[in-house]
Amino acid sequence: MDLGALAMPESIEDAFHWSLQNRLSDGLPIVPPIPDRIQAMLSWVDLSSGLKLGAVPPRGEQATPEKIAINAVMAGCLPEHMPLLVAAVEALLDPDFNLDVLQASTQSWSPMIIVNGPIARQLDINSERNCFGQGWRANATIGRAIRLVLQNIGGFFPGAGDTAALGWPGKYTFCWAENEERSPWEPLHVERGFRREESTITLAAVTGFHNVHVGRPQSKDEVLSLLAFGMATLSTNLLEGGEPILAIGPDTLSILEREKPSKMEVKRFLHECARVPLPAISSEVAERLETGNRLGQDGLLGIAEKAEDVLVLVAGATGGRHSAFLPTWGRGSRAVTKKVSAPSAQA
Amino acid sequence: MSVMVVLDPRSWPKAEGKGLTPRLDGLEGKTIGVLNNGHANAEPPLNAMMEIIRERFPTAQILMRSKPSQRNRAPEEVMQELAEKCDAVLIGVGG
Repeated sequence: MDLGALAMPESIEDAFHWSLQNRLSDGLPIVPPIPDRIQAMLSWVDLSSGLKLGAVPPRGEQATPEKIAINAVMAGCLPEHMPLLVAAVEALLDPDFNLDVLQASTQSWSPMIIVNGPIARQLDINSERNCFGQGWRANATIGRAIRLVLQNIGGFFPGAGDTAALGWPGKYTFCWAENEERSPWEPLHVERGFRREESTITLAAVTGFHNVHVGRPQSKDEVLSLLAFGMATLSTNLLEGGEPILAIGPDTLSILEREKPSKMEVKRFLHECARVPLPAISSEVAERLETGNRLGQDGLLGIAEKAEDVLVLVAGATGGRHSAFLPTWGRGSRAVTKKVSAPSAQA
Repeated sequence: MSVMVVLDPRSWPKAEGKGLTPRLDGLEGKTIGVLNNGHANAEPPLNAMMEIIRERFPTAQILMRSKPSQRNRAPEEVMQELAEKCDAVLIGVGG
């Protein structure tokens, strides 16, 4: 297969400049995708299966394992990251994720990868301290590789394909693992029908990150009320519904756990209480919000159509009652979960 | 400057010389499809455009359809109907 060869300068400074000039980079230096590195990546994918992933909008070209591998090398991934990356691209191209429309959106969204199952530990994907931040190779490079796939295969480059009015830092990379060991509940992938010992990625179109600090509540209801208060922020996206995500931190969880609520109870509470009054807008504008069943008789608007749409996970470390509220692009894109094949180098 | 061979991370479409769809010889007697893309404020400019078409081309027929939401593709049956019944289609972007 002819993957196309390019001549990249050997000097680090010239190589960086070259990658920016040719719009191959996300603004940061890349690892040169020399053929040996791509081969190493591909040794972790079963190419004999004739894997066909699909076309990446807006350019509409095929995401092949080879092209994914090239972008993965550039992002700084390890070869054993490939099975997870293939699953992430499968999720990207799933109709429920609705990448066609997302790639045409002027909203600032990015593909967030949540990892569940044994692969998180195998690949050393951070689920604890600073798991949404910098400093961890797997978190940084896996999320970055998916962004480069969107850019280089999909043609999704700022001003040419990518029409985001603002953008946000999550567009560089966004990948983390659920802190399953700390969670008292079934993890996200089990909730979605997978076995605990299976590994999955869940891809969601996320439009921000908000640290929710709850102070010093004493009861479950106080904790949940404060979390709901932190989530009751109707960004433009959530005006139209969607699947808002809450990752509860361990110190906040410790207070909740005293009364042992189920995960569904938590979701229901958040769904019922994370409600805001509509802003002062005309009835004509209000009609266009497609509020569905989220606008109550009380005139308050909820952030999701049903409790099941509020995704609740556990992440992070101790040292403050912090949780992460992650608003999503809204109704029209669903979080998609795909199984990751057990990583192993092929013969 | 010394260089090294790297592989291209991009996929490129194969160039095909499709050219433009043949232009209509006018709008009289034609069926013009109008697809409202579901964005807020798409209706006023589309309504104004349809009014102009009716005034200037009284024998033109207009077939208006809408996407249910700007967040999803137009249903396949809508696209099929426009392709089969219309000589040209206007697609309206509100904002």
